Amino acid sequence: MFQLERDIAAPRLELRGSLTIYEVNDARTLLLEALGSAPVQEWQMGLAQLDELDTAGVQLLLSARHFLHAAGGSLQLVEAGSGVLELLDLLHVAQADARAQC
Amino acid sequence: MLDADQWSQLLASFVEEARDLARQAEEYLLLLDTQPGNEDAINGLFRAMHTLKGSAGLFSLTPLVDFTHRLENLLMAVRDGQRQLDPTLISIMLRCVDEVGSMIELIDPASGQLEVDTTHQQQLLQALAEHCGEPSPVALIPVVAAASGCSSKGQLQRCASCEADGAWHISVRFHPDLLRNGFDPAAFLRYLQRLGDILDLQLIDEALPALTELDPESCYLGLEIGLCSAASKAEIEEVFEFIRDFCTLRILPPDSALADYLELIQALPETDGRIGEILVNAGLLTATELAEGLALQGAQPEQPQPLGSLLVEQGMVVAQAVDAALNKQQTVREKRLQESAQIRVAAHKLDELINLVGELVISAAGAHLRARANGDGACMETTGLVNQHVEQIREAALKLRMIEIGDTFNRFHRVVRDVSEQLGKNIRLEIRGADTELDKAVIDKLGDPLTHLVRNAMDHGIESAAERLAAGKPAEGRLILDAFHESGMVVIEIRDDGRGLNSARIRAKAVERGLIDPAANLSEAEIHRLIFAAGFSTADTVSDLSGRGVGMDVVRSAIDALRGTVEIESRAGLGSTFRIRLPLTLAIIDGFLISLGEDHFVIPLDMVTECLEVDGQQLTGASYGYISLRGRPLPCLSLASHFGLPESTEGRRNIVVVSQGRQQAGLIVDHLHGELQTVIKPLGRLFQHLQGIGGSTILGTGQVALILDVPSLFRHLQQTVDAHPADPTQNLPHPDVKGR
Repeated sequence: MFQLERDIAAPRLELRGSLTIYEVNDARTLLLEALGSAPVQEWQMGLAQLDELDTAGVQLLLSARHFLHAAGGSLQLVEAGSGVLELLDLLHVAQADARAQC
Repeated sequence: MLDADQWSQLLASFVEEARDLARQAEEYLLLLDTQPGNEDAINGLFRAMHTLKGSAGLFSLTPLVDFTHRLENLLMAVRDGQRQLDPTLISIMLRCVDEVGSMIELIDPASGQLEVDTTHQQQLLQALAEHCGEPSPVALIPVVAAASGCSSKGQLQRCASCEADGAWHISVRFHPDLLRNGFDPAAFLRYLQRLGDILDLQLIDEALPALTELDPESCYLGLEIGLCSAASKAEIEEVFEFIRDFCTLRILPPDSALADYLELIQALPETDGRIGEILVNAGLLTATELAEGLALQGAQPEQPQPLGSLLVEQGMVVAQAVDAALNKQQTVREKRLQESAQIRVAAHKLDELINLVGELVISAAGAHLRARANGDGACMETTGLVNQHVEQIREAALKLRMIEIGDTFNRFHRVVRDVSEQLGKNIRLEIRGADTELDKAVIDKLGDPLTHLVRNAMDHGIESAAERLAAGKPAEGRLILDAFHESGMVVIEIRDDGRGLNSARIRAKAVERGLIDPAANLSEAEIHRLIFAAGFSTADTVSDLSGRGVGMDVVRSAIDALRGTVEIESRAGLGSTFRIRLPLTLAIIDGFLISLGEDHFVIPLDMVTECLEVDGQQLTGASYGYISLRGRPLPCLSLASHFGLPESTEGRRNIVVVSQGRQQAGLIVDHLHGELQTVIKPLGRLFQHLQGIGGSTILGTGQVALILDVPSLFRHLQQTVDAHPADPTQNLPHPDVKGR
């Protein structure tokens, strides 16, 4: 089960549950809704409560980042748990920003 | 789009494949039980689960995907050496594989829906997790990288030893369906880490569309990996073996020629600059080399000569190396061809073919007869030739249905393992003659009776370890499954080295059940046959496995239905052998045609040993009797009186001597017509109770002939003899017997 919590003021997204091949379709809809709702900004994405992540999930996050970049914004992944961080490290994705915050 | 028919065909072939995979998984597990470190078995097991998961994903069978995913994760840990497959874990895994098997059977062939008992699955997964000491089965398994002897391990930079060993460059581009098929590239990366250190890794996401256009289940990614490892190219390729169909893999060995790197840059779909940059960053190329190489290629635009050959010419690459690589590719390709040299054919298509061949046999025989009647020599010659070819076709067609019995036998490893665990006995199964071929229809129907016999042997036959030791036998009991050909029949033996059948107890039980008269004088073999009587059981306690008295008579009727026989050989204290004889095939047999008056009958040729001629005057007209054959009494049965047909009044009669195992008997008939190929047509329901008739066939003339069921005739003869145990000389016709 994937859940998304949005704090427009920060602006920050909190990801919960698992983000794997089984959830990516729903997650994409939620993300589009959330990111599209506010004017383009520098978003933070909190991964602390994300229990499970796989490559499909990483791909979705990357795509979200591309999406924001293209519109002139940015996306920073923060507070990854050890399991999630392991995968991000393995794929050499965002190690700089996620690690800095953990 | 697929229409409903195509779809259900696909689903059916998936179910078939899945069954195979589940069975393979079981076999591998059992192999691992005896050889815990067998890497082939671990890999095979992993591959089976993996393929199963992937294919199940295609049909959206989510419960199956989830379940196999968990198993696969565990197996991955085993493969990576983080877990040991101990016997308890194997037992749990076996139950999980069972669960997989029952899930496969639960797939609704019409709708493709799968309803599962989630509680049971949860329990199994729980058991697995508990055994592994994990709170819950977690998908992410932390991996400890194997030592690669690299001093700058994990520091993502080249070290001194890397220069010596060199670094591999691996480019992978994933197929869009990769993720959808249940594969996660991360798993392969983790596995790759076992081979060495990943010095450099770039996630290629150039093809990744923006969120709005993204199909999140498709994979758009690629990887450029620098690996410091002493592993061979084959070993690295093996890491990606499972996703070979779902990725494009390019591997460059350490210190490859400049050309190879350039070729790689070109072959990859991304812009040359990007890959070049990666290679330069990885220290595999210098910026100058890159620029020069690309310029060199650009300089010859008219003839787009392959870069490889261009560089060979320029002496930059040794031609031999290219040849070697090509040869290797060739052998790999050939191997894959061999693997796919088998075709799966629906059983009903084969049946259809065999049916047609059967009709062809009949019509060819008809044509031959007609030619003979017309006395047209040339025509006879032609039809003879046709007959010859038809016979060859028949044999080839029948061979198509033949499969090895080994698969069926191997299933018993599991039965034996489970049952010995349950009974607390130590039993080893030996399999012989696994390559003996038998008609698929026969093999399919053989499973149940064999299971009964195997369980029976383990439950009643083989003693407990203590009893065995006391009797001076090794503690480990032996159970042997053996198959071989014998005079046109297939013989299957189930042998054990247990206590043998207890004749006294069987007899007492039979008397108690009212099956025999207490005063009856029965031979040892006759007493043994009593266990096949309906409702017979000697076990003092009814166990879970056998002893409910429903087993052995079911075994006999199943074997009877296959036109086979079962025979018992038992020696007290040494063990017993159950010997099943089966015809090779159920569809077409070589027959021997005889007639009684106007009625034709066919005797299976394999059972005919010789023919005799006797003087009709000397036969008493009784329905059975004896003649003396080379000094030995031969029980004879008059078919005419057995079937209630009028006795012939002709002077000379014929006796066909038939044999089954060591038994022999004579069948008294009017005329012999010789051999013919016979297509067996089953009898209608109405005639199934007929004693002594096994089926019917149509002759070339269009006449119907009945096929004699010799085993049942033998039984009838036995009963008649038993019923009149009086002086046999009374019925002895003293015939004038001449061997022909």
